Amino acid sequence: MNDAPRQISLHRWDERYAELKARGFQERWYGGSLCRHADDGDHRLRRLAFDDSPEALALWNFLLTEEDRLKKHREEGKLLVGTMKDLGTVPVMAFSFSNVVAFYPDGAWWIPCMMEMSTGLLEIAASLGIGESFCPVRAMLGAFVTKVHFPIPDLLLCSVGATCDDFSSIAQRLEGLGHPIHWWEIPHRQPPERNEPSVTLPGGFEASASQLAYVRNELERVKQILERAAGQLLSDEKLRRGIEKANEVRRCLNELRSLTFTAKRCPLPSLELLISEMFAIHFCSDLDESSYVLAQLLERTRQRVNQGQGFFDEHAARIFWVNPVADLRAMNILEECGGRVCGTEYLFTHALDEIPTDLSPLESLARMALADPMVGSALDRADRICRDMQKFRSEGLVISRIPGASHCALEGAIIARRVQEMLNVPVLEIEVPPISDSIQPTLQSRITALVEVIKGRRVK
Amino acid sequence: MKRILYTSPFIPPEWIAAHGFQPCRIVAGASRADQLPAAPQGICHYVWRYLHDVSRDSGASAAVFTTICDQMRRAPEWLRESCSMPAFLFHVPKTRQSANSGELYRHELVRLGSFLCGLGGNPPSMESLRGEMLAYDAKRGALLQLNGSLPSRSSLEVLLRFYETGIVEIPQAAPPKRETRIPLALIGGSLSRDQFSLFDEIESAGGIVVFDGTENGERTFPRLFDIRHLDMNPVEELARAYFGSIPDIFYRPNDTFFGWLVRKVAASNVRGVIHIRNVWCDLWHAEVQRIREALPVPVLDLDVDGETATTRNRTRIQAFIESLQ
Repeated sequence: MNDAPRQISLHRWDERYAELKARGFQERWYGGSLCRHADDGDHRLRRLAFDDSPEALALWNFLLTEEDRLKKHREEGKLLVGTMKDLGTVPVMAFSFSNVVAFYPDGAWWIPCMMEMSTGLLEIAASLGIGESFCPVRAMLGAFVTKVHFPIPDLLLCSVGATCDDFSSIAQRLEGLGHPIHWWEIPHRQPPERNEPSVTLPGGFEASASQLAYVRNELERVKQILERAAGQLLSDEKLRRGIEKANEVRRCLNELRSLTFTAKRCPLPSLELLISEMFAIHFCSDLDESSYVLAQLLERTRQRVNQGQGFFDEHAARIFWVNPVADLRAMNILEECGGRVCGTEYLFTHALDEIPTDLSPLESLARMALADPMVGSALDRADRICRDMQKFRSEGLVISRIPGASHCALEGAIIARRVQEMLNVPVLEIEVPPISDSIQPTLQSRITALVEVIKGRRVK
Repeated sequence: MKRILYTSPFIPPEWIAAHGFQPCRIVAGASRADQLPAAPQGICHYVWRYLHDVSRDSGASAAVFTTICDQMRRAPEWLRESCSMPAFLFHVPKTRQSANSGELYRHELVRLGSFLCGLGGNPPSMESLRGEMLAYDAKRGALLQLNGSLPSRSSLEVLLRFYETGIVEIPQAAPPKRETRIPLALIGGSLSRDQFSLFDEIESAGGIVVFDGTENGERTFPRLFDIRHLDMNPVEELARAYFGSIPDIFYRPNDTFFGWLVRKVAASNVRGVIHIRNVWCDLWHAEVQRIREALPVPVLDLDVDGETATTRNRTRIQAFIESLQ
């Protein structure tokens, strides 16, 4: 199927789905019409614009059936491990066991958006003392109370230390409700002292050897916790295999991002790319299948690039986007305003870098954990953003603040100043709540203004 | 003597003193509020005031920050943009479930020591460190003896002087009359100086602060040093006293704080607790409900945000104390 790609509405997807099925479209077991998810409660889908490819349909179906997969894993007797805060390290370890499934309870932060506030999760969090001044991830608390959105995990692991306060506080509140948590420490990444051995981490940051040793010890402790819970030992060999599978996903994502950000015409809209990147964190509770879904999407993207097909105006403003949005609709808005995403930093670029395979596996995972852009300085993060902006030829930067997130108060200005100083590009800071409808005109105005500034600079 | 500025109770002044510097624990808010630049949206008032105070203190050699809260963790970067004062970020571990955490804290002490030596300090001998530790222990002991014998605002001033200079100077003052006053506890994070008038408001409304569990008060004193361990390994003893004995909300898990709070409230016979937090301080804000559930006495939750504390909170304090009469 080589039709020119289009963005279509959910309603139009119903018709398209019928067309695809009529043409013999084969799907995986979680396939089906996208509308069924909206009918089940994911109302926000009705306001989004989608890539109309079968591969994008598979991506959405895979994402939106995670709850079913978790229930099935529970019925099969697998150990469900909630890996909280940690973005991409412990899930690799967890999936290396044969009977463990990792998932990311923090992902509940999108439930208020997807279900358009119909579930009352934020109200439940507020009733527990965690109100609007906290990040939307507080929806996770509500999800644990209602027990409706995912099975309660058998084990909870949470990283803490150089992490944001609101998540740490929300997780502690969760523990106070009777959900024991195994906490592990991730220290603030510091450059080595003079005369102290230095280690270059994946992604280019530097850390001291002593810090790395500390993180390695913490991950050893996490490994032992998992082994006790799973009733299995995790050998280096098993962990290496898990790392290789994770790297397959990461390689696929890196190529997908590179093609999307550098092609003359945008071959994959930002919404589908955002969803894809999220798979790097915990593989949407099925590592093998996430690898398959992403590989299919990559193949479609390659075809589009080879055939010069794509979305939006080929002169769309090339924008680098920092931080994930609480309302997925914001990604469509950017494109409606004449922009396209050419570069992303959704808080977890370290989960997109390949995990080293020439070291002991725990050492490799420790390096990945310490390479998290959020555990070091905002300047480190800004420098990596600058490098990526140069690589992807981004013309402007959007910093999307997450309402209530403790890190956003201070880091946005530091990142903006650094990017302006190094690259002399326009920067826009916005804040996107879980439902942005009431501020949509404001968002549109501000993004349009950025696009106009970018295009105006081209003429000069 | 060259001064090293810090604000966290988890930084041992003994360690700084043993390296040949004057430890100066400042409570933010010394500089005038009208000289403050506009704060970025969402920033904690205390962090902003501390940054400002540090950047205007041209006589200090360096400032120490900790990672106890996310905003303070990021604060040194802001400082570097506005002044050339050297800044040290001390990672205070949050998790208590692992022996690794204690080792990390000790490692950070050593790292701080290297930083101080880089500023011209001297690596301490074990004798000099023991001496400083015993001296500070004695001073903290004297302060604990105050035990409500001064009006609460006066007690606070005595503590501030001790934090900034290491000197304990107890004024002659009539002990406050307690019989007709409602005994209260304060708990919370860091209060900046512009919020100290809350103590006056409490007393004006008929209350008396029996113990100060905010970060400025005696809650954050480390335990007394164990002389035997002090003799064997003073660095280890210093680390164990500071990381492990101070009850605080940021630890994960933080059940030891709640254990301490319940015991302290019971032992102090307070009739109410006032919980004071800075707006945007998630760590304390998230615990309000748990604190209410844990305590057998009423809890008043006050948030403060750079305004004169009394304007917003006077009525609430009055109503709270009246309800306890």
